[in-house]
Amino acid sequence: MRQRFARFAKFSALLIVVLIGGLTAAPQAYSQAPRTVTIAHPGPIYTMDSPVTWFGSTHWLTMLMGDCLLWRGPDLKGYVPMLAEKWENTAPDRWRFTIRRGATFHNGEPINAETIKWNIDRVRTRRDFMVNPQWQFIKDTVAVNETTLEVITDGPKPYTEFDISFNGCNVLPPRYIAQVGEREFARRPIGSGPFRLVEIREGERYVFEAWDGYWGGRPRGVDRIVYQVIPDQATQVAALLSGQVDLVPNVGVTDVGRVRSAPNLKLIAGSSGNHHNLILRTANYYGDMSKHYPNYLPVTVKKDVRQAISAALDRRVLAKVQGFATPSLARVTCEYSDVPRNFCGDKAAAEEFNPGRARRLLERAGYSATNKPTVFFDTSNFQIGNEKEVAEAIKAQLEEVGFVVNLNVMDLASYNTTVTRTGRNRDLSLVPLGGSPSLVPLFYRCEWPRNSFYHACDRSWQQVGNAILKEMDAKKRGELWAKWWSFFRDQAGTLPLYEIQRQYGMTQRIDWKPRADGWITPREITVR
Amino acid sequence: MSTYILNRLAQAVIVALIVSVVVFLLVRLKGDPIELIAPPEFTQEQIQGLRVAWGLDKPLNVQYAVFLSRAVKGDFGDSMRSKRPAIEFVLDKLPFTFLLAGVSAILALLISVPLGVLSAVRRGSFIDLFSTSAATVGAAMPNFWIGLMLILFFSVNLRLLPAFGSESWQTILMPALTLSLGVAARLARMTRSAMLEVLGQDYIRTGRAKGLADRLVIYRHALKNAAIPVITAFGLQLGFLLSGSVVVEQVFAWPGLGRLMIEAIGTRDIAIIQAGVLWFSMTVLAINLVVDVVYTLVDPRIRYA
Repeated sequence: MRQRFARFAKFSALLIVVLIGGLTAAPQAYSQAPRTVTIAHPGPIYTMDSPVTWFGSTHWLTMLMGDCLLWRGPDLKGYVPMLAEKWENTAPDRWRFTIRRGATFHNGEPINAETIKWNIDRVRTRRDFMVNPQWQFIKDTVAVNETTLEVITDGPKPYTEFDISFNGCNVLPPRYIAQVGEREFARRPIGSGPFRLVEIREGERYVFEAWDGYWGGRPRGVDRIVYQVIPDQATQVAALLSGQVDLVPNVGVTDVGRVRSAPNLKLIAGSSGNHHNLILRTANYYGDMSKHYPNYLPVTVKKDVRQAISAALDRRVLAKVQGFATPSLARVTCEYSDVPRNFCGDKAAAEEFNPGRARRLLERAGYSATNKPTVFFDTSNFQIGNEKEVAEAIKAQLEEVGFVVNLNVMDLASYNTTVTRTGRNRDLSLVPLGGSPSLVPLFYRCEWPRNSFYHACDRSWQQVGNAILKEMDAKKRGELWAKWWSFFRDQAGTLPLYEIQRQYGMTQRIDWKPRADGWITPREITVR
Repeated sequence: MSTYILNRLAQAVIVALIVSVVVFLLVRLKGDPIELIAPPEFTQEQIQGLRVAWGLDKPLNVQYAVFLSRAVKGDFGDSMRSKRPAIEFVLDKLPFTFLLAGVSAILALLISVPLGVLSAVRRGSFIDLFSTSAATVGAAMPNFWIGLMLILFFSVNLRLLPAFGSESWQTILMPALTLSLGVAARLARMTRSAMLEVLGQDYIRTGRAKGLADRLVIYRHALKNAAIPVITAFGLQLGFLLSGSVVVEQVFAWPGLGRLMIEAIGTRDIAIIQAGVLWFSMTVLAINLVVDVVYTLVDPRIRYA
């Protein structure tokens, strides 16, 4: 018995020594160098060859190490030069870019007009690249000389600057790619941006270091940026609270209090670039709804009913239920100058909210207290916000004006595969959507794919949308936008509710201002 | 013995074929993969172009034949999201999952077997009460909750352990403990009941009557005979450790196959899903095969049956 006890005691002592050793050694594993910023990234990151992927969060990384020709200003009010020193619209379908002299890739490979031509041609011709459709508006590129590139578009394209500074815009090194091959490049890329990728643990950790050879000079605010992939939001916050990361891009509503009360942390609000939209079915011929619900005719095919729904919703309340959001009637962020001011904010929401008008519209559509319209409403339980709670608030608001609402809350994967991706949605569905002025008119035209979960075909509206995408004169385009938005509001097929805000949690030792479009490209981050 | 192993191998091949059909069909049951991954502004022409590029325009039987003929050579096609071979991702992540499952299995055994034996030997004592209660609680608590509580306690409150990653050996402590607790709880209960049954047998009483030391009776005669159901349960629990790692890897940002699968399902990357599920299944089949062989070593009756 004594022998057994002695053995047990030895084993326990050994275990305790190992544990104590491990625990006391642990903090060194994640101690921070003074000018290093660690950012939690939700993942996944599959490739560093930026045109291959559609994922915005991958572009957060590629934008650190790769310059574009030009870049959208952080407030979305204009463009800033990158590898193009200047540019001009020489004809309605021609843009001339003057390429910066002396810029090179991280390996010394020079950047000239031919390099940019190779990059644009690659992304616009490679059909297997996810971002390829965005670049098909470019018909041709001509390297006029070492520093001059002409881009020829298929007709007048007022949003050329926007489109060439979007997904897939990073200029990549042709010679290096030819040397190592595309597959290897995707794993071990180099770029022309202010940060070099110096360490990679694929899908887990990406370390970038400030580069002395950058044409704009070495970044002054920070020496090293680490992207640490942490998929779980609660773990991200725990890592922030314990000092293992410096920036968490989206602190959940339930964690905001804890982050706010932590002494060394701060919260900064910024746009996510996403809106919650209530999608109303405008006809039964698109998607595969009719296959699954034969002979079902949603009440929302009547415009009066759709407008009644819009008038019944108090977006200010819904924004509060969401947690952090700004009421909006527009499908894109209100920071864009193309969005009328009267579509944005509490005032716009207050003007739209009119339960009396909602009841009158329902009466006009043939409904009454004894003949209430029934709507089937699908939503996911959680995606980027409190979808379930918001949907319940919408249900209550609609029932208040006389709707009968059958709410169906689903797991996100089921919701995506059975509702949104197949267009099986009936009357209502709640969907977060992003967008930009150069894209949104494309979504509301008769040629929009019929398998979508929303569709609008109004020839007059479509004409306005097409005209917007060709009008080079900013003032005239502004007038067209005003018309476009009145169609959008009148059709009431997509009801934006609010713009979702992110709560960025960060340590007090860093300074950083979020962009208005929700992209996290922390080139300007500064460590105090 | 060799006939027995060959039989088991033949069964494993059939099961693998069935799994391959199920996986192949399941990822397509969700709908046309290209429709699911194509960005919103893709036209029908562009979608069809992608379908042709990925070979998804062919009839299902042809697609399956192509898939199977490549899969047996280890080629599962390219990931749609990255345009790199899916198997590269799977093989990169597999060692992390094996490491996590292995450490968890060892931890589970170290916790459960002594606890189960002690509990059976001291039936009705405080230790028995404690271990059975702990086993019930351990089996009842979901993995992700245990994981989050450990993170809160060890990372946030005590600041002793890293909450994520795989860079140092300390990073495996919390995920392994999280994963092993449920398994340990089930194994401890199984060990206790198997031991109780064996301890009531005549040959144990005979051994004790002959004056054999308690240690000999318990460890040489009782535990060896109680081991068969425990090995069965452990074999099954190894499969659970692999599937349970999906949640744990997500919570602790452990870069294993489970997390890769969640990401692939989220992004609907069918090549990675197919490769990952098949590798998971093959691993479970291999474990079962090993467990079957271990039976024969522990219990000769199975060998000669």
